[in-house]
Amino acid sequence: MNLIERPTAATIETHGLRKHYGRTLAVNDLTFTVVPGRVTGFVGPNGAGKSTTMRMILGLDTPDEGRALVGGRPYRGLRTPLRHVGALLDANALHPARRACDHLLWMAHSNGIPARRVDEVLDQVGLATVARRRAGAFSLGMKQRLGIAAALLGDAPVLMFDEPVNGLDPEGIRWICGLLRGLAAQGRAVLVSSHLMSELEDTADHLIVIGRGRLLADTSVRDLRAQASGGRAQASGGRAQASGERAQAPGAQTQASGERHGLEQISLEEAYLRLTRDATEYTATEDGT
Amino acid sequence: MMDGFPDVMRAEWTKFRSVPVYLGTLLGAAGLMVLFAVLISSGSPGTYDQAPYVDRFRFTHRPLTGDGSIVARVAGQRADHPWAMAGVMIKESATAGAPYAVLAVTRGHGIRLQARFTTDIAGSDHKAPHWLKLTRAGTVITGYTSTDGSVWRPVGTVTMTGLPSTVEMGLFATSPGAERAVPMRPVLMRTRPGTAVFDNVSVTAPGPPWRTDDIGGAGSPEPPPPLGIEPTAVTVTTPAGDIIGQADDGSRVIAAVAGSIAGLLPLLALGSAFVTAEYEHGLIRTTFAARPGRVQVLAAKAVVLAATVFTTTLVAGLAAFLITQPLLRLQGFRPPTYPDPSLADPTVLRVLVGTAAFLTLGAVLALGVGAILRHTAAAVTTTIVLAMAPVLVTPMAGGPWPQRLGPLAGLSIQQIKETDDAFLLPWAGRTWTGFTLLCAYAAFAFAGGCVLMRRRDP
Ligand SMILES: Nc1ncnc2c1ncn2[C@@H]1O[C@H](COP(=O)(O)OP(=O)(O)O)[C@@H](O)[C@H]1O
Ligand SMILES: [Mg+2]
Repeated sequence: MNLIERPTAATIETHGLRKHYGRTLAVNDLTFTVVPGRVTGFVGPNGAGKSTTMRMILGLDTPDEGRALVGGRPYRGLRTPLRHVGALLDANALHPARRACDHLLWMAHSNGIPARRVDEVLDQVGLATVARRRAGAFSLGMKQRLGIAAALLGDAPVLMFDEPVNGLDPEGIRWICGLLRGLAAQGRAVLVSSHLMSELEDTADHLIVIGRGRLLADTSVRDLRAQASGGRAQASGGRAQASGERAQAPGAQTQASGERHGLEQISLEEAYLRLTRDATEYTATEDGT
Repeated sequence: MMDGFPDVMRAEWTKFRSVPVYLGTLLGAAGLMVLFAVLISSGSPGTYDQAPYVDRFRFTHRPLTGDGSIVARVAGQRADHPWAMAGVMIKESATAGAPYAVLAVTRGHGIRLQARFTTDIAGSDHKAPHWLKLTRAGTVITGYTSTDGSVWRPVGTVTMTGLPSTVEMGLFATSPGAERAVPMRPVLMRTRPGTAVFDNVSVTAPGPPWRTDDIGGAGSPEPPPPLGIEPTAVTVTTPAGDIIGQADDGSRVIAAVAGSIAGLLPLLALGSAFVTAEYEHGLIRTTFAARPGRVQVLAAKAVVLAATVFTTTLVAGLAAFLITQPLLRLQGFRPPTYPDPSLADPTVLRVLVGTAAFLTLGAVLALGVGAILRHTAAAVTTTIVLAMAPVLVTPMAGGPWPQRLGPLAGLSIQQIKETDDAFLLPWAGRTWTGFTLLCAYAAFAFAGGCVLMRRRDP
């Protein structure tokens, strides 16, 4: 791999990020750091500002205030950004008439990445056999894999995935979780977003919880668990709400996790719900009026 | 800005070639260019089907025996075409094709002394009202003009060997329509009947009475007004007609680029879609994440688009040129009237290369509009309306200005021998003016796209 241009630090930092769209304040004074060697979960309800934050990190959306740094440098200043940061924002962002391999090939060309990396990452995500198929014919799962292949293309020390397990089958979810842990174990900084705690609880080592664009918690999973265990008395009260939320999550995963963690798992979910409840409720009433 | 530009260009080229509909559109445009060229070269040579001249007009005349002259003041001329004439004529006989000499005012080309479909001598820039005098002395015909009827200035002299002693002499008017158009180009103007009002008419010796004839079957809806024995005021109305000899009008070259508009339309769509499709599929974020230099990305897109469109359309234009030559010869466009054109001729090269450049600029203009509007349907509609609206408006505008100011003004680069703006060929006599205007449009759209791409979140 070409490592010449690797930044010294595999980190993401945001400092006081703020962004509004019209009258919506999408991100509000958001400061956090993502460090290498672990999977950082980026959780918050729908509309919390996760995608907006990731777009600002990638230099796509310009923050109103604050800044984001990758390996200590602003993204837009990177000459070959794909070698520094691999990102999956939207698995559907593909030209339907373009072959999967060509989609990766133009990305490789744009950053001077050797063309053989295309075959390597296609192999890595299990799409080698359909490399010459047009992306429009791909299922959502295949598109997610292609998006992940694109993120891996530059062998970057920093990786970001926006809702990568959304709409995947249990086997796909398990594959992605394994992949993320593997990438973190190689010493990369991995930031993964989800609006469901259940999708990340087995994968993430660290959690950044946001709601209504604000940082709610920046904590290790263990600490959050411990914190939640302290308030176990309220767990049963929040349970109905929790299962309602989880109805969208793939059933197999939830059950498997439930068996492994028992009450503790519910508590983590409960802790997350309590953290984000205010934000969710506020959003709901705001939408209602 | 230039840092890593080859990489971006390579990426954009990969994007371009990997979407079949882009390549299909490009080849489709090339195919249309060749198809139109072949179709237009397979038709008849139009006006000159029957004879190597057009000789059709209303002639109010009387015989003249021996030497003599005719004087008349053109009091007024009403006609649309710049080459519509009103003046005095000496003609061997009142039949189409007979040798003649005329002195006339025109709408747009001043005073003209013309003879035998070949001679054309320019006089002053005057329009009606103006005095005209044509004299015969043996075989020598001389034309004079005057602003007041007393001081005469010679315009020129033509010698007509073999002119019989008795000829027809009189007043005439023409109103060119389709017959003035190069067969390969549609006419710009609707033509109304031309009317010329003469007064102070006088001829040397009195003679047989005047009569009015429609030469060459000009055919008038109105019968000629009755004339007095020695009229001094005459009105000549010609429904349509012209006096012109067949000459090399550039048809042998123009035919090759007859598909310019047909080729342009798909290329406008291609140019727009090359950027708008990225917005519609959400790919633009992937693009800018891979290369945060947005101007660099749009510039790379423009270079890739321009290079492919230019190469393809230049090859198509060359192919059309080579394919149409034998077809045109078969249709009567052949030497000596229509010399075989050569690719080494700078004019031919200018037309072919200029057409490829015209189409390229159109595609880049569409790319810029696409970057501004970020929506395929909106961008394609806008560019096509921008390009085609002048074509629709011009015939109603009573002047060539809409055509001159739209992006299609770039077709001026195809001029060969035009003396007047044609339907798709504005800025006659100013080859580079319209083309420069199109360059400005393309540059403006591209710059606008750059500014907005930098300012807006993708
Ligand atoms: N491009 C945009 N234009 C307008 N509003 C936006 C845009 N992107 C996001 N938003 C709004 O900003 C808020 C945060 O959205 P987003 O970052 O997508 O949240 P999340 O990814 O956490 O679900 C939402 O209220 C959303 O409607
Ligand atoms: Mg999102």
